[in-house]
Amino acid sequence: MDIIAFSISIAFFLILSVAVLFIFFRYSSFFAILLLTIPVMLATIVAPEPTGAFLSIQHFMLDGGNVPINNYHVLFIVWTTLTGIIIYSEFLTWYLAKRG
Amino acid sequence: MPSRYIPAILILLLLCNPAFAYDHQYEDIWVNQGSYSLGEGERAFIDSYTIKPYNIENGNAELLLYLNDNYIGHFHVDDSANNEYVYENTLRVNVTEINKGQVTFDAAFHEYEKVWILRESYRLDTGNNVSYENTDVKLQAIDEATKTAYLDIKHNNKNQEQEFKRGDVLKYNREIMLRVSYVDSTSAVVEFYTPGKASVQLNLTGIRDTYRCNNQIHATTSIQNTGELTLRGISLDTKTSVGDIVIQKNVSQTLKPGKNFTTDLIIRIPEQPRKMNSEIELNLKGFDYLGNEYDDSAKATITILPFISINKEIVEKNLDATSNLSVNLTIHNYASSKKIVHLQDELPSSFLLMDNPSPKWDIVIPSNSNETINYTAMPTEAGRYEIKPATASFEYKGNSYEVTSDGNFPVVVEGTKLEIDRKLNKTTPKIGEHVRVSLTASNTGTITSNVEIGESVPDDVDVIGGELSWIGKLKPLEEKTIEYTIKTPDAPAVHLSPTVLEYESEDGTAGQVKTDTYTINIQDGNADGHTKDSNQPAGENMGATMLIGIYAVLLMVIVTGPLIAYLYINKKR
Repeated sequence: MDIIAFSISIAFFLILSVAVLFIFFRYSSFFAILLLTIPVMLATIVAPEPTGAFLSIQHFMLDGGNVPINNYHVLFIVWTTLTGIIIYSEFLTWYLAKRG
Repeated sequence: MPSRYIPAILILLLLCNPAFAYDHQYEDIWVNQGSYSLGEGERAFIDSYTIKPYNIENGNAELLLYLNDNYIGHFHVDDSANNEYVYENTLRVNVTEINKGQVTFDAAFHEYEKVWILRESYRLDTGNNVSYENTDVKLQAIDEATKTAYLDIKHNNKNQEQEFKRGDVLKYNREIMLRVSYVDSTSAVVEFYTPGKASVQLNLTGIRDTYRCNNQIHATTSIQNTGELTLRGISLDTKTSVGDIVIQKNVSQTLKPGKNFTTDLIIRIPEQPRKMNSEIELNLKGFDYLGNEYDDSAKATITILPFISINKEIVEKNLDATSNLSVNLTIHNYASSKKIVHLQDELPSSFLLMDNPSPKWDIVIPSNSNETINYTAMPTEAGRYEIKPATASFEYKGNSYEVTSDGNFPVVVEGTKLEIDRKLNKTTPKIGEHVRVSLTASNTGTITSNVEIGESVPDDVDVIGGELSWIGKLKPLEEKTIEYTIKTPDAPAVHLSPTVLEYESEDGTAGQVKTDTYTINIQDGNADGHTKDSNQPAGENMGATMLIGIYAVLLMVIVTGPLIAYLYINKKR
């Protein structure tokens, strides 16, 4: 495992997550979702090679070397978690507003 | 000295006869001298006595007795009532069986020996009691006039009342003995005795770990009676696979408590053509007065070195481009005759011999002398090398043997040297399976170098993660490993071209090293389900479309729960 690549990757996903949560709490859930998804997708269109290289950085292997864990997996985890938080928050807000 | 003191001193000496003080601990005992089974005309030699059976019939026999080879009498024995004969209270013969012309008997000598050992001593006041093992003692009363103590004794759940004067003893078989050693007007001192226990300890010292053949082993053995009883019939057996053991002194037959017996052992090691391990084993046996056996043993393991030895020395272990490797070989022949030895040394292929075409020699070495061979070799390539031991082979009694010098020698040739190695975690993967490839660059030279690792993978092979190249600096003895993972294509084999390592060292030396071409043979048949599943999310290099698709799927999964809840709530209202 390359410590520098690992640190940069984690820092990127941490900043992305904090920024998305900040937008979500202070401004809009819609913009938070856009911030979560659009930059990465744009990056793959604008600069596919470096983006692909970044998302392919392998951090460690599971199952005795059969299952590599790279930045793709981290991205999907961040996407799933934050999208879930935003959507469930929106749904609960709607439901509580409806009851009140 | 005034003459009136002389009778007083004599009276005092008479009163202080020390033999009386410990008589209660001694017993008339019959000390077992062994068991004998004799036919007619055969003899048993028991110390100075000789016993010879005569006229053996069914259940009856005559035994002739000799003392110092002089006939002193004969006696009639049978194997029932009349089976014991005691000669002048010194020798006892106890016949156990008379059958088929053989008389079987035990012989014993009469001795007066200390067998009871003081274990505890208690001062008891009237009405108090004390316990020792399975015996309880209570002082009931004291008769002041006669200095008599009345004790209630409970032994093995049986009660007994007994009066004791000072010095009186009470024995319960061979288990325990009570003695009252002192009685005054209010208390008495009760002592508990039990039979002594025997034990013996054998030690073997002065043995080194290794010996050369034709040497002598000088060792010392000591036998210590660590018990409380005298041991008799002591015998020492020796066992070893090398040479014969000579015991310098005859082993003492009898050993009193606390005493020890020491003797030297000498073992002459015969000629050995090869290194071998051998055990020296001593077994000691002794008997107490009842004929019970006690034993102990001592062992030592030694290594016997062969009669040919070879010693290898390397004068300078750090070499530069201008210096040569200098090797000294010394062969010693410890055998009693001259030997022809074929000597062979081994060097890494990058060392060129200066004096000989090959490092092989045939030499004759006289008995107990040595020969030395020196040679030099020139290093042609920098790096760190392990110089292997030299080998000497020789014939002995029609067989070939070989000895080697000790250990490997690390030798450093200063300069630039880099190596690249490629390893795969699977050699014959299935189609679609993941294979992890590790590339390791190592600086085995002595100069820091800038290094670039480059790996190219065929176009039909998907790289699903990891690094294919690396640029950096490697210090001496440092190494760098990069890894990448490929997914095997639907093809019979994948040919990996050589991995290239380009370097430039700090002294300006530049160059490149390569691995060999590697072919991964792919098995016909798909990878197992688990591996296939794990391939899915980490498949090929993903583009934006793929990412959008994946996100859409994630979104659908996440939204399903709230959507169902939304529909349910709206329907209810």
